[in-house]
Amino acid sequence: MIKSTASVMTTRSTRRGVLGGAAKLGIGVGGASLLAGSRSSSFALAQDPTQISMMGWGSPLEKDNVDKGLKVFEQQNPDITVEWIHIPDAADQQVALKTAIAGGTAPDVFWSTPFRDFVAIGAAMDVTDRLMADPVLGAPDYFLQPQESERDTVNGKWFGIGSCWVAPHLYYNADLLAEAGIEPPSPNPAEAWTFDEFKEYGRQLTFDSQGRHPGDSGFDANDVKQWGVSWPTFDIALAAAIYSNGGYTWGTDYTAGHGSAEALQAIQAIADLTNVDQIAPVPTVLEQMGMSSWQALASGNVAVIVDGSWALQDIAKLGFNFGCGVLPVFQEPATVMLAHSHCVSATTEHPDEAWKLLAYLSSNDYQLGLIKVGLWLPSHTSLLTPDGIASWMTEGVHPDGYDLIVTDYLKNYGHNLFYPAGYAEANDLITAALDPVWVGDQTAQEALVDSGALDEIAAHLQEQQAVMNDI
Amino acid sequence: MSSLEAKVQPGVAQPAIAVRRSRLSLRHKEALAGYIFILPAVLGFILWTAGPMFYSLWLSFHSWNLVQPPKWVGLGNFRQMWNDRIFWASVRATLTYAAISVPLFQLLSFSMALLLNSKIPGISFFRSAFYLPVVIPVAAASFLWGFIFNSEFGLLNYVLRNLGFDKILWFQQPRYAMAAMVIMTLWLFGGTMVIYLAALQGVPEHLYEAASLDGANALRRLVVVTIPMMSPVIFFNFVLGVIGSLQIFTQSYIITDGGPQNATRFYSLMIYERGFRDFKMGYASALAWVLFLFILLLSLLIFRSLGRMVYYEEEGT
Amino acid sequence: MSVPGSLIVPAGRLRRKLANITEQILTVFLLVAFTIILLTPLVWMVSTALKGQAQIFTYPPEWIPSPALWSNFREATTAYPFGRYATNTLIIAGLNIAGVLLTASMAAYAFARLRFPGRDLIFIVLLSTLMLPFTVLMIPRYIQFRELGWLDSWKPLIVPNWFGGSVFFIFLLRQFFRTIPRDLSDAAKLDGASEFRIYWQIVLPLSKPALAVVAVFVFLDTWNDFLAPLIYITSPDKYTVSLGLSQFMGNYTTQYAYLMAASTMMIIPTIVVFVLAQRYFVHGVVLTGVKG
Repeated sequence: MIKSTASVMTTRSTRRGVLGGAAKLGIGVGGASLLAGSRSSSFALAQDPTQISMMGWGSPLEKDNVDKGLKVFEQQNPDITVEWIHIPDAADQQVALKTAIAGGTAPDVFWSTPFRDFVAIGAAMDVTDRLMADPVLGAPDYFLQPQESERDTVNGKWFGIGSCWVAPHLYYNADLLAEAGIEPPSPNPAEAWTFDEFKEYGRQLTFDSQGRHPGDSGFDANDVKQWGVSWPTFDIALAAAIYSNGGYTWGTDYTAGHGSAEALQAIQAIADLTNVDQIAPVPTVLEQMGMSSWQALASGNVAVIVDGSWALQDIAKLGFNFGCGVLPVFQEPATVMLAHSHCVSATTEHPDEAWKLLAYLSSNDYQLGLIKVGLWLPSHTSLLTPDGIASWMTEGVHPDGYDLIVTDYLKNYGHNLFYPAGYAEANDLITAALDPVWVGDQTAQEALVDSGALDEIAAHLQEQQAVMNDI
Repeated sequence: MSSLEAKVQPGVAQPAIAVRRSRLSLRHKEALAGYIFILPAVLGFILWTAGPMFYSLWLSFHSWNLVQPPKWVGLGNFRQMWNDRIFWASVRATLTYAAISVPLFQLLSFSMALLLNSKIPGISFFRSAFYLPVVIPVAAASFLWGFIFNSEFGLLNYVLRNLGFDKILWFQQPRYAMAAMVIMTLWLFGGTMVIYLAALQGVPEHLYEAASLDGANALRRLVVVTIPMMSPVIFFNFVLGVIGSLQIFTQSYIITDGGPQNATRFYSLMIYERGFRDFKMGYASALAWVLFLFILLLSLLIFRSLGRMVYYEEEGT
Repeated sequence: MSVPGSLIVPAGRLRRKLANITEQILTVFLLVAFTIILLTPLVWMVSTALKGQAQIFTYPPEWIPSPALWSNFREATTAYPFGRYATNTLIIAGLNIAGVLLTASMAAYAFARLRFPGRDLIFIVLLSTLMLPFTVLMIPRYIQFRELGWLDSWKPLIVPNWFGGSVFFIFLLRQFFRTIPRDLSDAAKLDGASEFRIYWQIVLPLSKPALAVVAVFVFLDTWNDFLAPLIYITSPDKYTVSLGLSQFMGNYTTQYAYLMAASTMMIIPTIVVFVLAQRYFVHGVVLTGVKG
């Protein structure tokens, strides 16, 4: 159900699986903090400004941020005006975008997720040369690497630039942990809980209405008062577990890694949290219709959850005592990172102006606003320095030690979550196949391998790869 | 002749002179008026129904993503369907839903109509109350029910628990997800109930009296009088119910997104996804045509009853 | 008819009367029980709409919001500009009602009261579209409207309704028109009135109840329609109420109170229309007849 992804960014979109993940994230720009930067102030000639269009999505708050950012951009570039086509829901935006491309009215700049679907239909311009020639963005250490290149290049060519990063990590309800006398999980990857510790703490934090814990005699899993943990099963959260166990989900070679022993083991371990260990609610229950497990975290129904960094924005507003930590470790510390990319249309009549906008969207100025509110994580190395960190760590949003999640966990242990072209259908197949696993009706092995689901996915991906090889 | 009429009947001759001729031309005039009156509806049928249907038939033999030009693939789309796991899952989900929901729905509507067909003060209040859910927008109803069915926080599981049941994973287990979809549908029985109610009130009283005189009790009267008298209505509602059930979309779009395990990936949702998410317009058209052919088969059934009905009315003219 | 001279009869009557009363009590009991079951979800919706975030996710669920946050309704309109969507939907509904009332009644008039070759065949062909779900048509219609350049406008939602709309309405009006005595129109015809004048000045004025039924149904269909706006409309400023509500999930996923508040706002007009027009509803269904 709720499939998915969903959760992800919370949007329905995700729900529809379209987006893999980057969905809502996308969003916007940094708000008031945008300074009129130093970039390219070409002083305008007295001619009419060139109008370009940009299509993207986001909630009202995020839309505001984009509005502000575009205003700054237009001040810096008086010769350009931007028509901002805003569609709230990410999945709808992708549909509208495809329709516009199909109708020959593609916007000059657009937000894409999954990005490779747009490369596959030839809608995104190759911006490699412009990027390399750019004095700021072209610097080899401007972006976190190698993740940025993995995200944006196809056959070595750049077809877009990432908006930011997001990554799943732990959130905990500090009061519930204190009551149980449990030391909170650390944001330092070197001090991460092992998965066994995670399970043991989860057991201690789970109790039914009679105060019995899982494993105690008479424990009633139908009458749980407080759950210990929740590990959602949308693609992103699941991928983090798989990578930590030494596996992968979607390979750049267009293979699905879900069938490896490492992946199956990780998937099974997540399902067992509910069905064997009895320390987690059925994960999809908390993901239904746009819900997220952090609602249960805030109301004290769950003590520790895995969720995306984007949720920080919402969680910080709820006024309860929470903290963040890195994910428990299977084999090695790991998380996955992702977000949508900004692209220039392959058919734009104003490539120079569109590139200027794309470059602006890739500036610190633009990125900072949404990092500060807890929606985004930085994708530029300059924001990982002590000065850089000071420019975004925000009291009341980022809990103590959160900088480590960015500077160490994300940078050193973050795997770019690769979205193959044709991702939505592939993820649908995976999601449907895994449904019986989460409720304990099948094992991961049975659901993915024995059922033939992965064979079907492999065939689908090969078709897509053939298209991409010609790009 | 009013100017309005002149507009509506361009080219109609002036009133005829001779009586005989005028009779004849009156008939022609009536026919012409008839064609003009039905013109918008017939045009609408050609433009928005027949035309699109033929177009999608053509499209179903092509592969088209709206960007590149359509490519002829022959029966490729239909072959693909044959091997498409999601297609079969969807067919199964849709037929299962129809097979379960339609009989229950008709049974409920009919029983409630019987219950309401009594002379109790305030009966019109109950009739309205039963009908009310029908006017609730299905998008809003889906959010509402989705929340009520939530296994952790939902109202329904709480009530069930107090009745001694275990927690039900409504949208996690395929059979319960199907049950939830059926329950949401049953909530809307009022619309059909009113049809039954109207038909019940049309059953001539003297038939019941005659049956009573023969010693028939209430149940017997139901079997020998009510049900036979209502059989055309029941049949009609059944077929329309089946066709309606093949259209279910919003509930699964909003709540389950087709899950779990494709148990609620109803046919409409699948066509929507193929067409508007994956932009496989040719394949989606082929899917639509398969549904159309299936309904055509069903329609053969209903045409008989409908034809009889229309004929019956003509007699009264 | 009374059976003369038996002492047993009064006792039998009494028993029958008692049985009758028992039956009535049982009926009322069942009716009340069903009413409660049917309406509980709506009560729950309003209750949820007034709750704070924490109270929504408590277990066991609580019925009474404390405190009752009426401000949820105001907050909800940030992501769900109900006024805007309602205005949009009312405009569309108004145009649809006008279109259907005019073109469906014209067709219905012809099918009910005029004789012309092929009438019954045409009627049955049109009627058969009742069997054709929108699901079958949505792909080609989408492409058709795309070719016409009508996507992301209200035209796909409105224009077909100026071509008869759903054949259901033609059917409904035809049934009603047939009940209007012929003498009236025959008399007018002898006076030389044209068919249009008979339709416009005699039949339509006598058919106000049926036209009201159609108007109410068209309003509800438009207000409640979800799939068609979902496919055709992309710009938020053109959303209808149903489409806007579904977008809520994309915006404020998490705020269930707001979601329920928005749902409540969207439902209220339908209930108002229903209460005002409930007479017609039943009437309308009786009209469609489906008589055996």
